[in-house]
Amino acid sequence: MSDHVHYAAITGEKETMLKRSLVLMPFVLIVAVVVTLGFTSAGAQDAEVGPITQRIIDRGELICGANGAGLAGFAVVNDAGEWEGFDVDICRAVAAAVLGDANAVDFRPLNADQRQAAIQTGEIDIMSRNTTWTVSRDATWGATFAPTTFYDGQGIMVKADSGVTDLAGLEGGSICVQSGTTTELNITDALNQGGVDAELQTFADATATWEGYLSGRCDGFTTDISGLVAYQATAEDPGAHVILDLTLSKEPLGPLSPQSDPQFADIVRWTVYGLFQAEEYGITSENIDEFLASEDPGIQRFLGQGENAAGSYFGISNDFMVNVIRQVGNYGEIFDRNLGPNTPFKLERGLNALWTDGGLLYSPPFR
Amino acid sequence: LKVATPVIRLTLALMLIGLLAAIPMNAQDENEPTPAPTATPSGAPVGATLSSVLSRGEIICAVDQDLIGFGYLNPNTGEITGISVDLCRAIATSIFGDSGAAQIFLLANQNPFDLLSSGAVDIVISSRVSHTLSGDADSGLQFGAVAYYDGQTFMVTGESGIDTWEELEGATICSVSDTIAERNLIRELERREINFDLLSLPNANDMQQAFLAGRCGVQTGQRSQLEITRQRLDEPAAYMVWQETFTRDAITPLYRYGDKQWSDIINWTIYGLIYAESLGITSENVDELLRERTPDFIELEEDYIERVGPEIARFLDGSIGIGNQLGLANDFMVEVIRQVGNYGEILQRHLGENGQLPIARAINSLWLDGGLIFAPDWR
Repeated sequence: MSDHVHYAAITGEKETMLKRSLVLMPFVLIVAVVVTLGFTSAGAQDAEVGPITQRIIDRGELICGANGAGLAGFAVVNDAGEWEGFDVDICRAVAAAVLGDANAVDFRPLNADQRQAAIQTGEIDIMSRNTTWTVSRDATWGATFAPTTFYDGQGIMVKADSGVTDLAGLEGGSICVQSGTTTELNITDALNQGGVDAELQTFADATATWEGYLSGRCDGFTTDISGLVAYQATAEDPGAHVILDLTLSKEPLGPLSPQSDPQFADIVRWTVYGLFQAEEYGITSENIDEFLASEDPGIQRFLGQGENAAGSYFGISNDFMVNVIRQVGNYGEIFDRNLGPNTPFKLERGLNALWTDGGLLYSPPFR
Repeated sequence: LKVATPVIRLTLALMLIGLLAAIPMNAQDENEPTPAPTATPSGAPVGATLSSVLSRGEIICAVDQDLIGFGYLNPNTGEITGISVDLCRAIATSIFGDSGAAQIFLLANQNPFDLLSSGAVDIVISSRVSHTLSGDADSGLQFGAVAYYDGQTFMVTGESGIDTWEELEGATICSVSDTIAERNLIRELERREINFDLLSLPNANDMQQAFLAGRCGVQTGQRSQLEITRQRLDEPAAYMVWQETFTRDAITPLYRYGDKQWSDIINWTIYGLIYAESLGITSENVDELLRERTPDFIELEEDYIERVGPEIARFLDGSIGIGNQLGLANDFMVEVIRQVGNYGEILQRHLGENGQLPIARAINSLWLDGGLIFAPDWR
């Protein structure tokens, strides 16, 4: 039995029809009945929570699978023993959504091979560990993938003082790449397609490729952008290298949760959407208090103010996004803090910009 | 309108079910013994929905019947066409290898959510159902991959020439009274601090008449629906629909929750259509991109990968393909593309230059071309 009527914005005739409740045509009666039922739950404050949400609440902590080996910019344990990074902040946002506390996270280090089992056995509530969304993982891991939080893809790094800003700038130069990888195929394709004549220097393993570039054997170094960021962090002077604003392939990375609790998957999904939406509204950890009094009904709904149902649909605090934004920030703040202009990586937003700025980040409406 | 007690609520629910049952539908008779489902090509475990679909021999999709380009019943030919219909046929092809194994259920005034809950249909693909937070909160149903992005915008008369927000200052704008669209309009113009005169009409038809009679130079609605309206006018060129939208509405398939395999089949068929376009695989060239197999010759795997690249090989080949992970044939996308085409071909067919309704692709372009249409990796 459905409890809500959800029509797209332009449903003028339908809505008007609902007003004429005394018209005795059967279909009108049906719609009227559905709307009546819908109204009873629209303001409900205590939807039942699913098993994963319940255990998070009982335990007072979210268990998050994270990159155990450490990945600069995405997940590292700092000198104070605290986890930090882009992927780490996604888990903190979900903890803030469910528990109201971004610090209530138990990070479980996982290596790549442990990921599937950790999700399948339910040992973790969520995984945010630079994991590419693929058809075989979606079908066989017993997991639900949340919206992509970071569109990774193959990138190119050059020396900052080279003045190179695009692929064409490498004309006549050379690029270090690991041999026998899709990375090598992609760069070959890109050079062919762009009509750029650059020489490929191939190496058998990833570290040798990086060292080849560092020793000056090539002008450029190519691998996935998240990998470039990690290597850059290990360089003696990270600021001496720049990652070009281009993407040669796509690797959509995002969090995932066990498929056994679809409602918790919805919480993760809408927390991620909420991070995008907050940036689109211009709501930040700094200015959120000003928005709490906003008269814009869209913002009121988004922040769960007044009579509007938001988090209560999922059995969590109605104003869950207030906790998320106040404690973790919007998407742009998370990106900037970990990967942006004030970090050694100075990553461009590229595909990770809002859809309104030419990127791919898009949130369905919070209503 | 608040319902007081669970008993009344239950009564209403039963009434609703009774009323719905009175509408002729193609639901399976629950008392009929269900034949054992045929095995999937891979022998992977079969989920509940796939099992019932397999025993029925076709999928049942609910689509709009009055929206040219999306779901439209041609009153003269009886043909049902549109993007929603083709998506349904693509999903049918994924499962049965036959785009004809799809029964199309025309949405009239039924509630799409109840059609799904009752099992009358397997999927709803409608322009009138939008992915929202409250929609996701419905525990019985789930939204899938976005198949088309739409949103509210304006149609203006060529005479008024209004094509920027600034030029809306002082304009008279027609809308249908007391609708979400009208509230969206008022909110957006308030937010932009634009003064305008609102001409609020009781229904869409009256709004259209007022617009044509020149009582307002601007009317508001969904971009795709305004285009439909515009192209049905006597002089379509005398009017213009804005490309920019100020709300977000997307066509996303809606289906029952909790059957992950079913949701994977629907979503990865849509992603497959998008992926095919990004790789340049079309209904025209798909056969040339297959691994060569004749009774006395099979192209070596390495030669094939060398010829078409690893991505196309993994997507199209029966032995290195990965469709079995979804419980389908390894190469299930081959028939989908052969019979229905890739994502771009579907849009071109219905909304392109040769279609009934030319609408620029804009945000419905591939991510490679600056749009939002994106598929995760086929690995």
